[in-house]
Amino acid sequence: MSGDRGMRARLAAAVWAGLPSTAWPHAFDERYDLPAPLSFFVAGAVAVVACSFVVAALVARRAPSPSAAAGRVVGLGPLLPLLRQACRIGSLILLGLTVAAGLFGTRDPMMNLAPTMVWIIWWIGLSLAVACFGNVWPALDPWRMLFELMDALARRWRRPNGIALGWSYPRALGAWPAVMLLLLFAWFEVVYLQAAVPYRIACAALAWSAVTLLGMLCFGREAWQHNADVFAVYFATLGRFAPGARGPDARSIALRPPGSGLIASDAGSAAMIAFVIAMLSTVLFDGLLGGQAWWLVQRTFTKWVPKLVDDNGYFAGTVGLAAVWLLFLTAYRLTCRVTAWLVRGCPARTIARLFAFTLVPIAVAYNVAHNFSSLLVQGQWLIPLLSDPLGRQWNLLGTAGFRPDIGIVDARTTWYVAIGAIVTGHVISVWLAHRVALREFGAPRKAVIASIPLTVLMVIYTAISLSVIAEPMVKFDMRGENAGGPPIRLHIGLEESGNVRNTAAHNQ
Amino acid sequence: MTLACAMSGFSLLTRRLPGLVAAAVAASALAANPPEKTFDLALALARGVAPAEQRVMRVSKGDAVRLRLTSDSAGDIHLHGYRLEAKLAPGQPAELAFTAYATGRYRLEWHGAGDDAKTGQHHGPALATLEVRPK
Repeated sequence: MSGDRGMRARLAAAVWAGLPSTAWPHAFDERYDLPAPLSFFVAGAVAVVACSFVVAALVARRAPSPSAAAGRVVGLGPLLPLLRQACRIGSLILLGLTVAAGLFGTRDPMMNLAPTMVWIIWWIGLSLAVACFGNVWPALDPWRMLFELMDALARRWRRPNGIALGWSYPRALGAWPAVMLLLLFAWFEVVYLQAAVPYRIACAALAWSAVTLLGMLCFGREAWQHNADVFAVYFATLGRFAPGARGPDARSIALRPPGSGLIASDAGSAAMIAFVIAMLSTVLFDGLLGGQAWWLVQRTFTKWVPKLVDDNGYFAGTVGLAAVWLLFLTAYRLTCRVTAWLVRGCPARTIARLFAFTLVPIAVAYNVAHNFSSLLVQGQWLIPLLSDPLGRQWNLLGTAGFRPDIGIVDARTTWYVAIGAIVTGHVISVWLAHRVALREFGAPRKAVIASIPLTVLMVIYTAISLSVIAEPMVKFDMRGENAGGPPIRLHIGLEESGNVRNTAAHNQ
Repeated sequence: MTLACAMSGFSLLTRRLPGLVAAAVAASALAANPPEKTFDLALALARGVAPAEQRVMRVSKGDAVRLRLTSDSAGDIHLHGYRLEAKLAPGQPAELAFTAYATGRYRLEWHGAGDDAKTGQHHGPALATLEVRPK
């Protein structure tokens, strides 16, 4: 909920001339949020620091019980497999519909199903749902379903071993492909100005379909989805935070305390450390971008390297995205080195792997804070769009005339949810870090000492989250070349869009 | 704001809900005479530029807002979010009157007649911003 981002409307409501009169003043993914007042920021920050101490004090007294993380199994009977099948078919249809809307529908991002479906419902909505309830992505993953369908067909006819070629996945690569793809995807989402152009979304979806199906074909589905399929890895990591998990059989699920899945099993690899940090840094960068601090960065670039700066902000955005990730990663690595020095006898590399997943709750919390109101306000566009996915004046379900209620959440509610989420996420992260420390280092006293550096780092990450959603403490004078308006990132490059189809033809 | 507030935002909210509802009822009883805020925006230049001191218009939720607009050139003006628009012709004043029912920051955008059709234009910088604060 960074207020300033509203000004950085990602792709403004397209072309007014030639639009049907049902189009309303609105830009895709525009945020209406008010920044949280300073009092919320201060209260949040105080709570964060205080809670860190409270958690430390509690941990110092109580030894962890190993059974707590195991979870309770809840049977759902034959309902669950049925639901799973329905989900898979539904999501395959939605993928087809989204691609079709992107290819053949209107160019206006607001009137086309693809942008809302991909950016609001899937990327924001599903991320939050997975973090809050459980990893439902394997049941929804349309590419997995496509591959399994092809595989089953191949088995039935010629190849008893299935369609996969059975190449062995290069071990040295680990999950690094997923890390790079996450950064690339974040770039597409946050920096690329045409991310809301339906045609681009359809092309990206088709390209990803080809890549991921080919990957599964070469290395087998499991190896590919475990290491290179960025979405499978992303949702699986979020799912480890969630209270719901896979049950022992297809008809049951397991319930556990939120976050306990993050420390239940294996430690992360070097690539997974980078992945978790990227989850944290990219969503924070999304909030930073377009804020007043970012405007200063942009101005510095313009001053010192004017030749590299472009109107679209691609240079600054790309450098910023990578720099924030590297900075966060370095900070984490250094913190682990300090921890290693404090506890002695455990190398920094091992410590970094042990604690990597404890940062996930902070990322989830910021995701909730940043996107909660967007999801509720912009998500309502799904209702009319399902009736008219291609923007051709259809009314399949009779809901095409529906218009979102922008007053559905009050700013005050949003502030409470945001600050509440950030503080809760922080507490869970600190708690998890202490539990890991207790498990690994035994003595409570040693565990508390071992957690100090990481707790400090968590406070810093959380403070950054808070400051991004809060009202800027210093008001910069942003009046410059174009007085009054936000001076950055408003050149949206439809002019150079040679291969975006002609608007008039699609809107009439 | 106290520490406890931030920590239990949700429960606080649910506890406050009856109070909020009561407040809403009280507000609607007073609706006959809500505080009215009028902003006069005189747009100069062909592209539409608002006077600097009027680029942020601050109101509270529930206020009756009246934007009186004049321009020296023809074009459309849109208030995002609230989805209001008005057509402006040189010298002819126009008005947007509405109740600020939803909190948030909303962009007031200007589109000059003619310049959009040619370039496939998008929104430029906002002319002004309407800021609706919670009560």
